[in-house]
Amino acid sequence: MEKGDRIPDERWLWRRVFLNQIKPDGSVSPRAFSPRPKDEGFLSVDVEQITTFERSILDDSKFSIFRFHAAIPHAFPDVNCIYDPIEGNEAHSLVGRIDPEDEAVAASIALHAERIFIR
Amino acid sequence: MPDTKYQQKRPLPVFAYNTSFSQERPGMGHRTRTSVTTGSIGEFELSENAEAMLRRLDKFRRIPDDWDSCGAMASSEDAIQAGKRFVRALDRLRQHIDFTAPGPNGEVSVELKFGTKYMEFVFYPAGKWKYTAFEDKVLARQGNYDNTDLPSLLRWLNH
Repeated sequence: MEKGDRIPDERWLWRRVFLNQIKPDGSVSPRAFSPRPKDEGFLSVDVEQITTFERSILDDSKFSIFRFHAAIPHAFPDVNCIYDPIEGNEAHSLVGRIDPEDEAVAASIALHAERIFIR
Repeated sequence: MPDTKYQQKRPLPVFAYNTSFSQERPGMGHRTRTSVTTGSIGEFELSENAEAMLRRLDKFRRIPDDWDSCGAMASSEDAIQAGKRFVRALDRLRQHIDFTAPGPNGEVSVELKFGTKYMEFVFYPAGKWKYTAFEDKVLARQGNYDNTDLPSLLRWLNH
């Protein structure tokens, strides 16, 4: 893949999730997939095939990893998953642009996401 | 098994609007059809579920800025207060609360589910409140949330 390419629907994307956002049943809150103020509507993720658990999680005392297919955000008009490697993270990608008024993208990702366990 | 202690000590809620809905919640001991009629809000005993959610919301105050190491904002006090008021309102209606979570923009969320239906209410700083509703993981509706929407939204969730 080249920087700027649209990630195919079947690819898994990984998102680092704060432990406080994980429910007792193991599912995850949509808040984990809501872009931060500085992100301007783009959610940072890693492409599964390119990253490793250790590289993506940073600190397993604070975070866990959830994954979802690129097809989930692609179901929303004008939302794309774009390969966007950055210095120090060649797996980095962006999901967006998510309209800040649209809570449904984050919730849809959360409802379809699954937790990654690697030990 | 019905929670008889809860049913004996806790009076039926009385709200300032007319609605009617039924609920059956494992762990809550609610197996009655509740009619909510016009009136004033009285004293009531919080369920264990609501108390746990209120404690969780209080703990969000300890989460600092940049809690995700990527610039997330700490939960705002007005969002926490709005979330707590909402939890109390839901509990008066004997609605089981599934989860509460902090968000990266200072917001807090309150989540509900029943069968294959799911709702998230999001309380942002400065009084911006939103909700989404899903059935079978498919978006059913979303929009700005106003307290007057609660009866119809809960009717949708619980039927």
